[in-house]
Amino acid sequence: MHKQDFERARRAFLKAGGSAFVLSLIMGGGFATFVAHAGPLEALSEDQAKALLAMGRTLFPHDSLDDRYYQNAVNALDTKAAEDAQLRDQLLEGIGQLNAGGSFAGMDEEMRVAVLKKMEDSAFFQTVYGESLNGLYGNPEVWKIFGYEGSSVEHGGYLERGFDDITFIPKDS
Amino acid sequence: MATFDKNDDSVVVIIGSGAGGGTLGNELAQKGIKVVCLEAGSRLTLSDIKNDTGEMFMKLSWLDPRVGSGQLPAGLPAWICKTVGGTTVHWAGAALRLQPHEFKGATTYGRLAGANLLDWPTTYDDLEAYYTKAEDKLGVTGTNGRPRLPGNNNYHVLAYGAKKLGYKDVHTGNMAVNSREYGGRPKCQQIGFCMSGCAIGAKWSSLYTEIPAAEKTGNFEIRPESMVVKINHDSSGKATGVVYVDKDGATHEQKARMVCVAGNSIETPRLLLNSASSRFPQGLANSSGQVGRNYMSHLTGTVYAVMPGEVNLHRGTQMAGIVRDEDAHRPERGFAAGYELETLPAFGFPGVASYMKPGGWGREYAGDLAEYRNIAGLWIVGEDMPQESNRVTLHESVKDKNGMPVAHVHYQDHPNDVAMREHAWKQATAIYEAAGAKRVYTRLPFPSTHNLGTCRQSARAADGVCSSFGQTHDVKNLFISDGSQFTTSAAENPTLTIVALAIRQADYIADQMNKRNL
Ligand SMILES: Cc1cc2nc3c(=O)[nH]c(=O)nc-3n(C[C@H](O)[C@H](O)[C@H](O)COP(=O)(O)OP(=O)(O)OC[C@H]3O[C@@H](n4cnc5c(N)ncnc54)[C@H](O)[C@@H]3O)c2cc1C
Ligand code: SF4
Repeated sequence: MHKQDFERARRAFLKAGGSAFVLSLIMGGGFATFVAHAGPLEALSEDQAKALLAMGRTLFPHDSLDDRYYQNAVNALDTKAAEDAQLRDQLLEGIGQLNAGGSFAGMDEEMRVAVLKKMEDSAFFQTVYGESLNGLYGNPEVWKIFGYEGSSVEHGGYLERGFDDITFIPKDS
Repeated sequence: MATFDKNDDSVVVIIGSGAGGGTLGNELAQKGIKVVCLEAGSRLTLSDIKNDTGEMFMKLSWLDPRVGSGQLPAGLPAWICKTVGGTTVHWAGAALRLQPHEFKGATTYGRLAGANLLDWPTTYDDLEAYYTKAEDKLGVTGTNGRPRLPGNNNYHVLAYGAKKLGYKDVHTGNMAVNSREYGGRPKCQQIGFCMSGCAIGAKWSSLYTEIPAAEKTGNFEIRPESMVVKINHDSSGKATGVVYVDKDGATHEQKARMVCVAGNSIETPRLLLNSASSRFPQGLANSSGQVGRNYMSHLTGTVYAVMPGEVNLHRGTQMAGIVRDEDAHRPERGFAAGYELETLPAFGFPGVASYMKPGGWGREYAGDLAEYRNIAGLWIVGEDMPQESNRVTLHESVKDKNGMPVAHVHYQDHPNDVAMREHAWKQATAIYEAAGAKRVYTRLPFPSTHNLGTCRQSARAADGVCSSFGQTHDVKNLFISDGSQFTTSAAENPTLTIVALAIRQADYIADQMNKRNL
């Protein structure tokens, strides 16, 4: 299936009431139709984008991953917000709340977590959560880092490549 | 390859080409009976099968609108294929026989409030010889001299923990996945994408077994992208043919001497209900009012565990691993009937992230995801109770592109289901903890993959829709040929039984044709 057909089928499915969550849980990678986003920012200021980046890093903290993996979600939100005034308002209001007690990006992790805990039910939180999850874990580079190995048929499967190479427990006879 | 005229009323029309329809079609064709098989989906080849969960989901799945309610996701109540080969393209290949007592649900479990239990009119003994035939057809491992598959890492975690807890019936299962070359199909390469389609055909699917074999006889024609919208009948109440819509939207009628419906348990009742007429105002074969009712999807649930070392659960045959010790009926556990525990992979990386703990975030959760290599997983599959209120109906307002009302699927757990799932979650957690798990996540079901019971077999016409042979009580030349026939769901994955019933049904149909009863 070509990428466009895939995208068309996906949209039609969503329009018919299919839920993105349900799809992502059974389809994994394919659904997130991951797109790498690059700047420059269109709807958000540098500081606003920093707050969202800090939020992504607080939701899914991986110290070994540098900012560019998290920046994908921020840029995706920025691109969408440039076309969608309602989303832009939602983001700006949410960022205002993040920064209500001082610069969110400047807080330590414990404080950032405390701020987010209070906002968990908000639409803003849900928006940034979903985008961060897809932007980070939908990125094939990140799969590789964490060990998802992707397509295997072209390598002859795992028959000779460790399907039963477990070491931390004795193997059943 | 044969082609038949649309006015040829000597053909048997089969609707659907999956486990039920594909098998029945081949069995009839081998006996010299002419078959036209109408399949809503398109026809793929092995080269269309890619190791990409998302791409294959979009290629294979039934994505025409359906409406779910109760516990089911509103937009995607079930996970079923729409393609030549049906859901056998997607299935994992676990091929278990039902247990003798499971054919006698009402007798064995007694009265359970809210459960519409009934004994099957079919016994284990009736099916035993057909189970052997089905196992030989599918090449099921661990049966009739075929070796079992080797266990993958995910299996070894399950087996180690289970045996530590004292479980004994633990092995790599009975799989319709070749442990050595068989039936013209190669041995499994441990590719690990079984539920996206097996790219080398090591797993049985009617797509590349039954259907080409049937075509070779010259008695079988399959018409892909042909969606049946109605079954016609004459004034005597006999089925006369079907109306279907082709890929260009053109409507045709195919005449038939007999119609066999194998559209899987949601589309089969939808079609019968949509074929209502002045003679059959409640829908075809529905004098009992049971068409669409007693919809079962198995008691299911998932457990993922973060282990102390690498598992790489995406490697190897996805479901070759089972603990069977809990599948007996032991009411002292606090519920009727039993369940199996079977290995399950995670479906890609974002799949794990969004499913293992929906809405999960923070250092602990992210840390567990970063240990993806160490995650092990299993699936719970147990007998769920038939309930009249769990049902498939025609949706009042939503229609598909052909103007046919879509299926509305409603499902809510019975208290017995809830108790069983709690027990299974607890046991599975104990298994992984015994193997050293750092953390265990218990999860609710994903959209139904096993869909059963909506046109059930019954001894009496008032209690169900069809006989032990799938022949509908009301319309003599109309058969139910898929999992809709199941009177109760039993603990085992259903497909081997669907195949065994289809082989038996073919024998019955041929015999009745010989005797000029059909
Ligand atoms: C991910 C997954 C894993 C599974 N793993 C296992 C397993 O390990 N073991 C097991 O036993 N079972 C498993 N199953 C279930 C198994 O696939 C089904 O039980 C089996 O395929 C059902 O057979 P069927 O003939 O009833 O329907 P299907 O195989 O679904 O075939 C029905 C066909 O009918 C067609 N159709 C429907 N309506 C119409 C119409 N009106 N006109 C024309 N065509 C129509 C559909 O397009 C479809 O192709 C799994 C299912 C899924 C989704
Ligand atoms: S693991 Fe085996 S059965 Fe599964 S897809 Fe690979 S070769 Fe096919």
